[in-house]
Amino acid sequence: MLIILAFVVLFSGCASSLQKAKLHLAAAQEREKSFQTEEAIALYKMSLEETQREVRKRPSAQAYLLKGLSEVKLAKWPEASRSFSQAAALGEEKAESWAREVSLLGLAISLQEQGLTEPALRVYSILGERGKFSPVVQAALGRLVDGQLELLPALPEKEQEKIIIKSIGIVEKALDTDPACGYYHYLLSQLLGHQKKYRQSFEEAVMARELGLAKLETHRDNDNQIVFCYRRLKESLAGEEWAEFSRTYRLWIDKWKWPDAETPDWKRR
Amino acid sequence: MDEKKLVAFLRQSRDILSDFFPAASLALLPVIFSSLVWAATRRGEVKKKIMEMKVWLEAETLKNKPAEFVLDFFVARPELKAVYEEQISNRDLRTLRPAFRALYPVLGLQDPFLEKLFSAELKGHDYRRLVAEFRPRLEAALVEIRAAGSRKDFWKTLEGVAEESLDLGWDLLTDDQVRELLKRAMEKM
Repeated sequence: MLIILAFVVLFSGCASSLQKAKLHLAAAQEREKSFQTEEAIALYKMSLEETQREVRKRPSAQAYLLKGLSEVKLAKWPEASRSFSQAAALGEEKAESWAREVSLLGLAISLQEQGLTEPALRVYSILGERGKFSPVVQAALGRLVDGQLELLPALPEKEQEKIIIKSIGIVEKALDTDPACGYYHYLLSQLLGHQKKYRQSFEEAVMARELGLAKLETHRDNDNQIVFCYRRLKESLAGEEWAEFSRTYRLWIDKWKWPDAETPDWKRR
Repeated sequence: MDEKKLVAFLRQSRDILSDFFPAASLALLPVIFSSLVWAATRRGEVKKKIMEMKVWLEAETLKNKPAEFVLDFFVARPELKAVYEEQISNRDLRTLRPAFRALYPVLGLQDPFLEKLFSAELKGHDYRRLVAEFRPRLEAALVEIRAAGSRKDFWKTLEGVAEESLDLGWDLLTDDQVRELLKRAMEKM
């Protein structure tokens, strides 16, 4: 026991930045898997700081790869692309394709920021369909869906419906590949809300909440969607249908410890 | 919670952090407010939480909501319903959508940074002014934070302030009470 303790103390004291970064990254991934997303983000940040220190002292393919992975998780796309390129230049093979995908995403984001929406959406669409690096695919799909929804108010109703159906198809395809991704369920819930399919939207939002969402803002927006669906269903359902939904809703909000049906736990009344 | 102690602490924090910001900074008090709210409501893991705050403003939430969601947002809040009564009854989404984009992160998502940045408008229920000022004021504040954040030791100093604030004793307070206490104390600074 004493030997183990001594080893742990020694290891924690003398661990290199690369070792520390690996530990933080592994811990972050563990937290992410168990849906402790706030802690995961903080650990990615700590991992990034260690890798920054490491590449300054001992630049290596592994250090740049770890740095890029942490940057991706923190949505630092241009930095991540540079890190993966460095890793590829130092001999890390898979980093080359990651660098390409991350840099394409960065390009699309900057095109969109400059008002070039159409080419940006095309790039998001390509990344969403053919991308292999899951954080990039998720970010691209989110931006693609939001970009498509932005076009809706200016379009006739029939065209609007076509765009929503197409977007749902894209998200459902992503869900086939990664059914446990809370963010895809969030996207689907939002799209079903646009179709006024409030029961299904509610169910997808519940899935998203249960599977976990990486950012607090998205988590809160998802809760607001749950409350919105509840209000709409309260108006439209009656009799046994309402009673059945109401029972289900009560079970969920009790589980989440909401003070009442329209107040998520984080919201001030 | 001793209010005098809290005011003194806030003054001291402002003095420490003001070195990182320009004079008459827009962002200084919102940064202090939001980091203290984070610290007080997530006791025990302050360091991690404060570090997380840096990615808080990078959104991946869908901004484009259906008309019904936007209308529901205004109708469900009596204070907004009164101000936008005419637009709500006419389903004037040309006015309501841009207003929603500014008001939703503040009132719908309750972002503490934005709450403090627009505290005067919220206190005076001046929602139209909040909407008009939202983009320029937020952009100016973010410019200040980026500049402060790029300076050595900024995040460490902020983290220190938040950690120290835990000694003031927030243990039995709810998130709501923390925000109210901080708002009151900040007015007395």
